[in-house]
Amino acid sequence: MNLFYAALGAVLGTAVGVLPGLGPAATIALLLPITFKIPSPLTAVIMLSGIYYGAMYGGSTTSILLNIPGEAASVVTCIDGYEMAKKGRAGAALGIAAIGSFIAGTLGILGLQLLAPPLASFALEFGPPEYAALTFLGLLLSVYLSGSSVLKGIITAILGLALSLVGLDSVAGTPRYTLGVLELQGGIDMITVIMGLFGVGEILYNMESATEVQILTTKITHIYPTLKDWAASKWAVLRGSGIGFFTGLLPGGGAIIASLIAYAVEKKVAADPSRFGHGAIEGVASPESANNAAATSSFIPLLSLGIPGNPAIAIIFAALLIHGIQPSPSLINEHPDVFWGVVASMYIGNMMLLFLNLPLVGMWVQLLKVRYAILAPVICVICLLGVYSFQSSFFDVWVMLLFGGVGYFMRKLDFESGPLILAFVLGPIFELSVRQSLRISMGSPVIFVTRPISATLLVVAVLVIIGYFSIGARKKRKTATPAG
Amino acid sequence: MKKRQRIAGYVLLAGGLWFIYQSLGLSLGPQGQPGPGFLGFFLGLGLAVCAAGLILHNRGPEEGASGLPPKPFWSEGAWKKPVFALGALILFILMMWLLGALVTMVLFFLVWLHGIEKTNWVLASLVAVIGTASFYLVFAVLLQISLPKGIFFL
Repeated sequence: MNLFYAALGAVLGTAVGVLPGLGPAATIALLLPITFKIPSPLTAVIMLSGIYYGAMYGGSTTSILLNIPGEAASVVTCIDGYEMAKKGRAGAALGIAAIGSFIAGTLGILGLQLLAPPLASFALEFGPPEYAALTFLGLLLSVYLSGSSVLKGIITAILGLALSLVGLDSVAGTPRYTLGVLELQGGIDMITVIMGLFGVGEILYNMESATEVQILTTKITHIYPTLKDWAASKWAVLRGSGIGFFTGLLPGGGAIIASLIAYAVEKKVAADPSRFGHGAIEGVASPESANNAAATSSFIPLLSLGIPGNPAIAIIFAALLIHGIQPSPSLINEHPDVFWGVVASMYIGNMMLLFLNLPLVGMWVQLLKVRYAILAPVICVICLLGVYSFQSSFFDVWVMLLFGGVGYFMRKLDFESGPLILAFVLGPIFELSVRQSLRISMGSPVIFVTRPISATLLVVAVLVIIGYFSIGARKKRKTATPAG
Repeated sequence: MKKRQRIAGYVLLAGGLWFIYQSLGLSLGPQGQPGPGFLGFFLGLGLAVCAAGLILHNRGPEEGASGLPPKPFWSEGAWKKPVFALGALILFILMMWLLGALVTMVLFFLVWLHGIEKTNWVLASLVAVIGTASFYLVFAVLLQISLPKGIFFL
């Protein structure tokens, strides 16, 4: 049964990655209602994680053949992938993307297997001050790495935290920020916010600019890289895997930043950087490896610390909660079946994806012919019925639609929704740990700096802030100094 | 661009101030015992300060890139599809309660595909029938979710 759901997740994920306009976070959210009826939490998480790393594989197909990223993490693959396709080397580009993704994914799982259990054992020592500092650092990094404007990132993170407070106070039982609406006393449901922002909001935004895409008509041949291709890309795959793995560990980092860094590094170390942008195979191999490694390693903070690092992982966090499992450092000890089951399914899922993306690449190209005009109402109905099915509540459906409108305007005004979702998920952990810490210290905030782990985490947070301002000041100086 | 950012800033500022007001009503808690309004107060304060920063950051006249006129919020006619789609979604929720999920889904697909996306009747009807049947199969039969039946009990 688990194998079936791993395969289903991999197929759905690849389809989502191939289709432009719908990211992995939105799809995981859309398919969450299906997992409500799956009796085992392990099976549910296996399917949802399959969607996540499957999307990383599928995204390259659209980037290479259409010059449009199927999902955001494949944006840099467009640069050299499409150039390769124009030169009749689409097969080689697709092949190296799939093989690089497979190697990176497998190395990432190995890292997850080795790193998560000791990290979880270490995190068992954490008390409320450490958790407060860790969630604060996570939120700060997600703001810093999420987009171009840090101010807007902070605003969306604060909004996410504020929304998480709506409902009954977990300590005193007092209704808070409910506007007198009885239904809000139970809080705003995570599913409604996620589906509204990532489902309906995205659809409304994409409708403005949705144009029918033109697929490159070159026949796809020789999908297996030649020895020469392999020799040119083997180090790029390994470098991309390493970069992706470590970037994926950072909250807010994830697959998008990993692929951007990997491409920049590859260009820097290349003997002839001028080849980049004109169909260099390393320009496909490295970012595609990086985004897969990052997708896998981003499970480490979730499974070992109970802290999700990006919106897609936050939805998997929600899925675990719905199935009665609280992600925390004790997850590996209390539910070893879930942890090791997910690890095993990832190895199998990666092999399935290699098969799905190499011999079956033609099938995914056909999928690109489905018009967005048809896809959009289908996605909206999934959102509406999905939210309704959660608690058979029309109120939730209205709230979801409200967040759909909010998501649309956020996109129009260049506000990233990633920090909002992360803050919304981390909000209850943050509030509870801050309040517990202050109770322990009788109201003294000094507790956060007198305990070594929380003090270290806060020092890192301060360094991130100093780093941000010093980079900003350097940029300002550069623009103020005339060239020459 | 600047004007709409300023408007967003004022909305957020109002939200921050509302949060502060509500939090003060909830009590921040006695010394050493943070109350239900404790975090909300600081979040409201943070939101108000950041919103003020957004307003100040977007002072001055509108500027377009490289001396070009500023980009409008919606390019010509671009508002129509999202606004009509939002309208269709609002109607979907209202009608689902009245007519039930099945009838509403068929109508929704027809309105969206023919009315908003201007696809021909044949394609719109085909998607409406196949789409509704598929959703019924997945949600009502496979997942055994009780969808609203409306006045027709369908």
